[in-house]
Amino acid sequence: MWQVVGQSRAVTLLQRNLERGSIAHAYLLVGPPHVGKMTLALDLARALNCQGAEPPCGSCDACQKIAGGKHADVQITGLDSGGNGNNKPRAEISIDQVREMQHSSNLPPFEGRHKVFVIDGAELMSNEAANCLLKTLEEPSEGVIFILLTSNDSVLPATVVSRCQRLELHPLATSQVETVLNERRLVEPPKAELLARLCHGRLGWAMLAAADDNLLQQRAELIGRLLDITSGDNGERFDYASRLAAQFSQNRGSVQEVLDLWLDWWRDLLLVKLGSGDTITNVDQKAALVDMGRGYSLAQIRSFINSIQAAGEQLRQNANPRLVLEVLMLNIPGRGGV
Amino acid sequence: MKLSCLQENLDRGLSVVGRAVAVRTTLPITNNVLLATDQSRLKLAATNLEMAVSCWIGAKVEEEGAITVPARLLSEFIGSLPAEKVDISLSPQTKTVGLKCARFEARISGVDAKDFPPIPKVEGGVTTKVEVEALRQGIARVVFAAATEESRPVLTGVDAVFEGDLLTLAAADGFRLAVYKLPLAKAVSKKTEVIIPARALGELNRLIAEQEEAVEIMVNPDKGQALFSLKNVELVSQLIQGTFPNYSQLIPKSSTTKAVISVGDFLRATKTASIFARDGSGIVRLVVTPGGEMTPGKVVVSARSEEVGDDVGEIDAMVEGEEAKIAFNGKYLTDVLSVLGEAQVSLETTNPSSPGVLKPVGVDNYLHVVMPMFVQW
Repeated sequence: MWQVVGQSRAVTLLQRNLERGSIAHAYLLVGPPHVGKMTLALDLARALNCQGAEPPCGSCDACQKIAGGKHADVQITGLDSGGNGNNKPRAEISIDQVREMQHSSNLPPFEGRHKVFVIDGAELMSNEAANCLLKTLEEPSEGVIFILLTSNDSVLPATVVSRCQRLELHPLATSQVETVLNERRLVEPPKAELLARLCHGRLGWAMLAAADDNLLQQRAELIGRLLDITSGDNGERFDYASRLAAQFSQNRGSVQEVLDLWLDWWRDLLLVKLGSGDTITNVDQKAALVDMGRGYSLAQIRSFINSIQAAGEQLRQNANPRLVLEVLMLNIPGRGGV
Repeated sequence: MKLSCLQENLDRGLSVVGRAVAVRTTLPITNNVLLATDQSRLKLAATNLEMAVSCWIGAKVEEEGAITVPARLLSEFIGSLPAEKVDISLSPQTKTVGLKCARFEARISGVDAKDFPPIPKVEGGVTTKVEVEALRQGIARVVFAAATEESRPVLTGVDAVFEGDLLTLAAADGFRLAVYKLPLAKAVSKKTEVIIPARALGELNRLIAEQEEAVEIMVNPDKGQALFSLKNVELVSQLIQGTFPNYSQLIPKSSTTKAVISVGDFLRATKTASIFARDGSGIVRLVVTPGGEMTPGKVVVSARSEEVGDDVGEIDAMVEGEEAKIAFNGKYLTDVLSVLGEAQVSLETTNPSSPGVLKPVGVDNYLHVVMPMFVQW
């Protein structure tokens, strides 16, 4: 049983490779975060080391060990792996980590048939690390397979990409996520629908949110803040902008999340106003959306969506975060422009 | 699991397997040591997935069982206990190991033994036996010449060729080559060549330091594993995959100058010169002069550093052939000279750009080839 959901293209290709015995020595799995890259990588690792009749069977010793992260021949290297003693979070995958992998790749498998090295977040490899990996990536020892996972292969050196077989993983359909959540009985049906929509086709995120209520609570807080800010005055807005800017210098991702949430929200407004209320993301807030939508014209919403997108782009390009966010706040449309 | 054993034995056992415990690892359980009852003994095992060391110690077993516990924690605790009887018991529900010795008591949380990577069993392949003294010599004389960086993986290992009743160990790192031949106590059935990681051989050498019995070796190139059986200890090493370069063509067939030098004097002169060579990329220059009718031959060892200064050392030598000038990296000379047990060594050279060969005088089972450095004389 392949554990990964959807991704039929990638799975079919890998299955065919397995059947023909023409497994590539290195794969590059590209897809947004939480879409199932690691699951697919572990699926492949299990298929390669499975002792059952139908790899990956999921029930033999090897499959279970790999699933539990206890197999000696399946090594996952990422930012937080290979404890270097001082537990300092690393900013990149270092050349030392790559050297460890190379050393181990020259030895035969310890208990299984294939050694599988998974590099989680391959785009986080330092330049030296990536260059150091090239030789091994090109012609690893027999029975060694590298699987690189990345959400953005455009920042990987072309030399690395060209040495791998590239497989793209795509977001799932909302209905597919909802079915899985219901089948696995992770959450109650209404919550399953909400999570399926919120996750944007990334099943991993939905499962994370199902297991951890904090994520939804944070979202509720952010939405509350959004409503306050849009109905508040410029003082409050500037306050919020400066707080976000301070946050940005600590953690870029969290501000991007806020912008993404705003984008979803204003997109929903647009949909509600156009009468396509069924396709909105924030299904649990429909009443609030309908209410808020009355205050704005389509053109206003559309132009603010553009502002949010522009702000996100400018932040990525290292513009002054405070200025960008203040401009965004100034662009919040005024009510009553129907 | 319930058993008791002596603190000294347990402490020694833990230090034997301790070196195989993984330091940096992606598999946390390899930081642990496996404790398992094996008939009337306690088996300790650790692995870093490159090699695995198992050690058996005498114990009074009351109840069978197995568990893994953090290796460092356990060995530090056991090491600080008085030399008395240690009672070990495992509570299977909580996976907690209880230790009791004299008036000390400790509980250590363990991890299920079935999650521990299985220690490979080496079967099939060829089996043989080596006298421990010969093996010690052999390892000590070649292992340092293996490469430490990973760009050519096969060079990080020691090439071992088992043929008839002869074992040839060879290591090279691109600048030097060490070849040692030693007799096998039991001839092998067929010629077998494997590359054993230098780290594992280094560990083996440490383990056999205090042993007198011959070491049994079992090699299975197909599975890529080698087993060394010592008294109460077993070391399994993964073998490096690949082909070792054919080094026989690197050994010069002839020479124009041959100097026989006292090892002690040569080592002292090289070490002294290395102090000055430190800033000058380690270059140590040798000038070999044959003796006249009244004067003995000599070797002049010198080094200079542009900023600091220079030094010259002179040693007596029996020189055959013509005068020769050659420069080496001082470290490569001191490395090999410091492992030689013999009194004299011969240095054979042809010209400043071809390799020098060092051989201990009186035995013909070891040779060491060092690449020269190019210098302006």
